[in-house]
Amino acid sequence: MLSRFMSFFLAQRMMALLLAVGLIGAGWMAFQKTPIDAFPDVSPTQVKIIMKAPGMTPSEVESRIIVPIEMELLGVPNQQMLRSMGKYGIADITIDFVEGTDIYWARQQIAERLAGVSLPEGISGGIAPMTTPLGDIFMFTIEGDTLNNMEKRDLLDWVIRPALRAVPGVADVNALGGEARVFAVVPDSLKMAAMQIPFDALETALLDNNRNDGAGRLTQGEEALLVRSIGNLNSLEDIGAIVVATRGEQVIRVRDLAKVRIESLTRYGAVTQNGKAEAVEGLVIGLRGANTSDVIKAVRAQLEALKPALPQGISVDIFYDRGHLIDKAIHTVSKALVEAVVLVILLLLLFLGNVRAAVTVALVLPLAALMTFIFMNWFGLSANLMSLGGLAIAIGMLVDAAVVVVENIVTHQAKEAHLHHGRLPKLHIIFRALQEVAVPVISGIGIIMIVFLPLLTLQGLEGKLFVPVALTIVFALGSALLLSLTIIPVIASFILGKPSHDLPWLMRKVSQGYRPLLIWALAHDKIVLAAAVAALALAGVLYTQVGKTFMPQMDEGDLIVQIEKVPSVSLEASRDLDMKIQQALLQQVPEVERIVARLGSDEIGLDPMSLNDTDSFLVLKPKETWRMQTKDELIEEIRQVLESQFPGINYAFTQPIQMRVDEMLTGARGDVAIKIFGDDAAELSALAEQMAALVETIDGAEDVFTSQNDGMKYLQLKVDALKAGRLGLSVNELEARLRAYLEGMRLGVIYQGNRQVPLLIRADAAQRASQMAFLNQPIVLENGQSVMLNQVVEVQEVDGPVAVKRELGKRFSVVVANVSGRDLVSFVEEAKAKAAQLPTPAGYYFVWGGEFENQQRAAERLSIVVPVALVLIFMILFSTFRSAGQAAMVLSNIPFALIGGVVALWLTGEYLSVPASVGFIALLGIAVLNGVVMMSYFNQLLAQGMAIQEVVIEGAMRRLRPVLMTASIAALGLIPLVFASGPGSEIQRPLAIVVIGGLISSTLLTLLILPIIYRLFGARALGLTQQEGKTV
Amino acid sequence: MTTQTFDFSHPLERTTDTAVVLHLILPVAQVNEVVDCLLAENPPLFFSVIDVQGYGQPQERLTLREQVAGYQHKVMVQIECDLALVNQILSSLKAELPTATISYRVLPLIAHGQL
Repeated sequence: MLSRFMSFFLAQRMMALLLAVGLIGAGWMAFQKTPIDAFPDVSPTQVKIIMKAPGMTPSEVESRIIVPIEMELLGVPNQQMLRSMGKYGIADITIDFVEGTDIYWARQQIAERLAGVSLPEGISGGIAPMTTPLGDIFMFTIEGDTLNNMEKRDLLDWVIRPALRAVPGVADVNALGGEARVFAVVPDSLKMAAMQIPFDALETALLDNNRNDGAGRLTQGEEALLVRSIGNLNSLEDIGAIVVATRGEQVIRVRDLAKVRIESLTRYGAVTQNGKAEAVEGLVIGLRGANTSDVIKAVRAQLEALKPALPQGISVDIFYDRGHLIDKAIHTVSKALVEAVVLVILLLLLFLGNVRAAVTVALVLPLAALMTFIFMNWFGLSANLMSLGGLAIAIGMLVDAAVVVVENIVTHQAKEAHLHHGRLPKLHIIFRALQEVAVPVISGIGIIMIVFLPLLTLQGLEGKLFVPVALTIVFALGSALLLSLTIIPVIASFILGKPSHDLPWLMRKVSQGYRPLLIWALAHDKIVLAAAVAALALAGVLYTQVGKTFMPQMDEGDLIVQIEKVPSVSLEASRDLDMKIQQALLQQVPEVERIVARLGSDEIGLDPMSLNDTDSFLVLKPKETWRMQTKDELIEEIRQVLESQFPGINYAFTQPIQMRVDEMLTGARGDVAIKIFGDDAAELSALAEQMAALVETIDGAEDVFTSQNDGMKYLQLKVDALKAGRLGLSVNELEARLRAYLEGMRLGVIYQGNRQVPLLIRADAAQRASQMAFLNQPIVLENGQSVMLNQVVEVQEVDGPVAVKRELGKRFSVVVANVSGRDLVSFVEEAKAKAAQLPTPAGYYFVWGGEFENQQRAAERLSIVVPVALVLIFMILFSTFRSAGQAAMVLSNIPFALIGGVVALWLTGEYLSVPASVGFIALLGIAVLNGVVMMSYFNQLLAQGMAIQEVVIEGAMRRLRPVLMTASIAALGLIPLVFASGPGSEIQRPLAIVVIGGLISSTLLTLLILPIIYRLFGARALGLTQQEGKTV
Repeated sequence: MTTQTFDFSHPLERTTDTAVVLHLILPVAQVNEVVDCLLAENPPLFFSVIDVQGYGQPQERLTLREQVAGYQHKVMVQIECDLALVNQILSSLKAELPTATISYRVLPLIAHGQL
């Protein structure tokens, strides 16, 4: 069957070439169509609900919004996690669904449940835009002196945002900073009291006098007229002219009771820039599943098209473009790919000493890569640094099958020329060579493909990252295998010239050295085996010395400093402190080019920070201009500035994507996140403080952080129900009145063309800034009499929580820490041991999460799946050799392959992480491939009746070249990844180091130990006898 | 005893006295090498390859699979040639495949032809 398949292509050479041309065309088209992104989409199916409750405190948000919604959401099918956070004026509820759940179905489920929840009046919001935590793809500020911040915000809200939202793939555009324009009615309490106008009357007048409507059709003769009544408010004058009451002949208008003016909406956040002033920022959020690269191109084009529409002197200044990261990441991988291809071709030349053979083998690279893109397109994989990294990892292995095939063709040609003086047809020789190696090549490459299959079972973040890697490698290897058995022999039949009898220089030298070494090793087999076992034991010891971590941190190029101030800080004070920090950093750290800092919450509420939280986005200068070598040193420099000049603030360092991924995974940002569950907010805070102090003492702890959850100052007003009742005031009425005074009460919208500007009633800013004025405001009763606010309420200043965090309906507080200079697992173990000594009240418990959680999950999964893969490999080997003993012999090569991997990790100081584990898995495959190539030839020679001693020497000598070629090409193909320095290289480096180190040890041992083991057990394992063929 | 006689008129053609059939019996694993070696012979040979089942081997020499089947899977190569060539063929096989386990027999060829 296989022979017939292979001979078909050799017999139909023109058809095979046409197929190759078709493949090139289809592959190129697939390459063009493949979406390009920096990172695979790592988010789970996640639905976010954001509710805005202006003026509401965190505890009220929890009890009046979060709890009712949570009650309704519990039991939604496929739900995996329900996480909520209540902050001042905002409720943020996140629901994670089981992997593979359709996002549209999930959103539908949530929307249905949400419709059944009854919430207090004045609450707005709902399901957040359909984006992922990686959705922040493009950020810009609006620059220019010709507009103030309110006008800039108008421009963003009503010109730029609608234009960008129309771009396909944009989920939303978040507007941050500046001042959102409102029409504000600022009542004069004294005038209202004097005119005996209660607050309700003003509210009703404003509500009832702002509407255009249609009345129907009026027939006039043969015509029908559409009747339209005009009552919309359009200007400050219109509002001021509304009649609130009449006193006999006299009318009392709004302007008689209140000032009507343009103000800004109550601010929940601000954006500052370069320590100079506030700024207006736009943040483009990508739609889930959109092709980021295309979306960014379209956004840029749209902004370009908008340029003429911008006012004089105003421009859009981009400070974050995910496209740059994508370009850099893709460039890193592409560069490594090109370098690997060049190295591979050079090695082919050196080993084969035959340009035509090298070219024939090298042709498999572009063909297999193009075929891989066809598969990637088919399976919906995007080209990102993980999937392309997979291709880069596979480059060295892609040529393996072609190397073995072409090398055997060249050898057969030389042999036939020598023995038979070229009497056999060329195509027959190629077919024979192909036939000889087809089975070992298929089983060898099949084994490498199988070792990557366990990665497909990884879950969570590691699954999202490494499934594309594994799939790409499997696709690439499968393509290369298919091509090596079909198209490559055909190309060889056209390209390969007259065979050369001589081995190339490199192989002659290597063979000269190898033969005596092999003979010595066979003569001293016990010493060699003992040395190998000793090396294995040493590697075991070194393994315990190698640090372990989940994933190396990818350098995104940008830096975010998260700053936390005292919880009770005001917006203005928080903003001023941010600007001072920015000035200090720009002055003292010249590597920082620009700082855009976001304080508090954004407009949509996707990232609801408090007024004391700031994310400072640092745009860094090109690395060549830095005074230091690494980003860690730069961070240290920034840390020193913050430590020395801004005591009392908490800070942490992160990067744009890393920040969102960390938040998405655990609801907290950091390597280790310790969640403390319990009921009482104060107790949770106290425990978090103790835990943070404890974690601080552990070696390697950095940026230990627990958000200060208490210390928020509350002015508590307790309504005296008796007094209020006597005066005819209800609690609801009074609370509404207070909220209108401070936060403002929305009473409708003023339509100005397409723009919709809110209309609200709110107290004067000066009054809102004074506790005395606030408490002494007169409240006009229904009967026209007035009473001071402080007469009906008891006032008390108390401390309260900043935020309420809940997971699966239970409150928790969290302590996060980054770990530097040591591995995560040992850090967590030490922390756990220390935490066990903390006095914890009944009902309170700790849950350990963060990146550590992922690492444990990955390790657990791999501990099941890798043995399964080994069993599969054993089965393939068994079916190849039809001998359990020989399958075991090939597998015995694996532990020796691991020696080099462990030593390489130890020498380079890299940690054992998920990518390093992937490296070990790849290594396992290549080591087995070499064993198969060697062993199958031993068997062939043995079957020809050769004596066992001769079999191992001649077999090893004959297979020296393919074994050395596959190993050195696989290893050198990864060298560019070791030295790459762009974003993403951090993830590929440990993998490359493990494979290179492992290949050195495994090749050495394949060449020396396998012949020894085969001599000891080979013939017996195969059940062969020397007496065959005597009778029929 | 009766002697079977052939009518050597058309279509059967009587061969020369030295015409023989050479049978080579070999393990399947060696067939490619042997065939290639025969293909390269000068003068060119005409031969056929037939799968055969070899019975009668002592049990201890059989693999498990062969024990189940009861026979060894082998290949027989039938070469029609002149007796003078037999030695040349066997020598070149021995030279090229010194360790191959090939048994052979030479049978006289009385006649050949085409119906």
